Amino acid sequence: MNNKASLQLGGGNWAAKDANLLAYKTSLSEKSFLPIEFTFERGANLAGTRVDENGLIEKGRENLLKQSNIFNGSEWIKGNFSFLENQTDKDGGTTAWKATCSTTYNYLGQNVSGSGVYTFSGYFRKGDSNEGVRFNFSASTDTNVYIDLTDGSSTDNGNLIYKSITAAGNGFYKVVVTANLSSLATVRFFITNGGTAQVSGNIYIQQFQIEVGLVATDYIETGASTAQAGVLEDLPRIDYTGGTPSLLLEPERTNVIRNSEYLDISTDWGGFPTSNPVIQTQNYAVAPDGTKTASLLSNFITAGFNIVNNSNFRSPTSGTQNPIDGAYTISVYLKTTSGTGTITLLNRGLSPGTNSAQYISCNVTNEWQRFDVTNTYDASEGASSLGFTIIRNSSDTLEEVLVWGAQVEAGSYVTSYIPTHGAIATRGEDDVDQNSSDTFGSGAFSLFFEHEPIPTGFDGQVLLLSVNPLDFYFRYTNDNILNIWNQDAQQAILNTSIGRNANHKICMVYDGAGTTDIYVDGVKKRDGYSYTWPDGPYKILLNTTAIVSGDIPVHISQVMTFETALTNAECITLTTL
Amino acid sequence: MRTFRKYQFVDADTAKAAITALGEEHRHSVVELGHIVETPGDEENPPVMSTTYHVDVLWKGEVDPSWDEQMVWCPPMGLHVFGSSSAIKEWTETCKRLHPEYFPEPEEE
Repeated sequence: MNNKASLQLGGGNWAAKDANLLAYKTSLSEKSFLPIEFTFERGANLAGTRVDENGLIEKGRENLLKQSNIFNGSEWIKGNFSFLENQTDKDGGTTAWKATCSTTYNYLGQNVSGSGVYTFSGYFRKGDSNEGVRFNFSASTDTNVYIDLTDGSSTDNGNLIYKSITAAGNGFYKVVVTANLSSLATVRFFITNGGTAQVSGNIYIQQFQIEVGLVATDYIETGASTAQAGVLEDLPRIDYTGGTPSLLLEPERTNVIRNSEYLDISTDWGGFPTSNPVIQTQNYAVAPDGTKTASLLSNFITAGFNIVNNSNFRSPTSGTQNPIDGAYTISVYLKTTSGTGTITLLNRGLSPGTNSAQYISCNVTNEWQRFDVTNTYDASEGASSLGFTIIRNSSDTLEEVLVWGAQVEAGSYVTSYIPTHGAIATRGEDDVDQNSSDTFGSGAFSLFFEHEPIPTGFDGQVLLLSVNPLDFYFRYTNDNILNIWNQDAQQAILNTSIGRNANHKICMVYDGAGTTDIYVDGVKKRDGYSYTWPDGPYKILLNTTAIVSGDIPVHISQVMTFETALTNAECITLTTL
Repeated sequence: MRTFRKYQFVDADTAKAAITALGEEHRHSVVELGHIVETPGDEENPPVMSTTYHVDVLWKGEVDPSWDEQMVWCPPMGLHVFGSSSAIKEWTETCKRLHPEYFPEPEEE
């Protein structure tokens, strides 16, 4: 905490509490620190991601089952089942249940609606006289796994992507089943004889979970409602890209690839040439989110001919395969199985002609990197469908590559990853502003602002200093021009060239007597701007769309206000990178 | 509070006019799905596309009643979702109440 600041947001004090972003308002006279909250909205948890403290991509997670460990509850379809709770569990506690069915071909179930890739996880132990369980996703095409609980062996049928049955302690097996489902209606459990015969009798069960996606994540306990963890709805995204925390603010975007991690070549994706195509192996390696969901694409043996592509999606803006004019960006995470090499990422088919495709040769290493390519569609050049292609070009060296997190979005720059699992998904814009607390009042003040504007080619504001009814805003115009605009005087306080995709520190200082100076990255860029600032109280608003010019995607590292004019030396020290 | 609803317009112009009528300052999320696939294609047959134009909206606050005549319901989550578990939950529960036929129970075996 800076001991002179009247308001401090970020820096070493980043904190997210419920849906609100905490800042600290300080009083020099009372020597106290008062937390204040910035109200925050995004409207997305399942599509919002961030880079966490460990450098991994963190998503929102949700256990779609209700009463996940209350099997006699009203959410369960119990049929002829009865239950005894407080049974010895996998950890030696007493949270397991004995489930007894009095008739054959009867099931314990719960309705779960949806389509796409789903994963079930739960714990089972053989009963007093019965030895198995049938797990069933009831959908347009059912998925079944028959598990022998005496040894963990199993058989299966249906649209299974993945299954694992592993010993979990005290005779329990952890069962994980992942399937690609159309019109999932119900998840069901039948007691079996260890094979496929469904019988009466009993088994022991504990902690069931169903979630979207390819992998079983840590268990989330639920009650009468489903429950979430990870990147929660409306929670500010404190992002650790580059290793230091910052508030990530982005506009709304839709990932129009409907399976961003399930890259099955038999569905949306195509492997070519058909005579000897690229081969895809799902869940081959650990992905950038720390789960084993990355795909291996192999058999890139013939340069120029071995291709994996996906054109089975609609334009993000027109809803047809013929996009409206504009820019589209494709992105994907790539990594080698060993060493380094190149493979080509191609944003194709937007404008047929000699220069229709945009592509980059990706220098892939044994660390995950995200690559992106933007192409601009111009209808006057003719119409074609969008396309996402990974190809071994003539100069490329890789015969296989690890792949994860494919994304196609409208816009001239890539935004944070939006996971999809069977349907295209939209992440709402990040919307943050201050609550009713005010920052500083009349007279001298200083405003310090550290941030990294993310893309080039996008103009808008990143911060607003507001004193009713006037706004003074920090914005980017003409690509790389930082403009600090005085709405009252209708004039620019500062116009200076400043680079995107780099961190910048700015301090604006008013001496309380009609003179304002501005420092950018350790240099005084405006000396003696003449203006008498109106009396406060002032509010700080981050990235607000109150101004028509729009939001700019930005990492905000720190904001501080001071109820005093910092000295020249202090400003240089504070803003030096 | 946000509310997720799906809409079907007779054509793209009608849909875009309704979107324009929301004004420039609206804070709703509007995603144009356009002419959606009604029958998937295969190697011999192209997909059959809808003649109608489809739009998904995540309303910030109350649903605009002027859009109600275009509101449609369908089996859950096959084409597009807004990444909001609370909005998905509300939409699914409302759809199930209005159209239980989209939520068939499995038959006894």
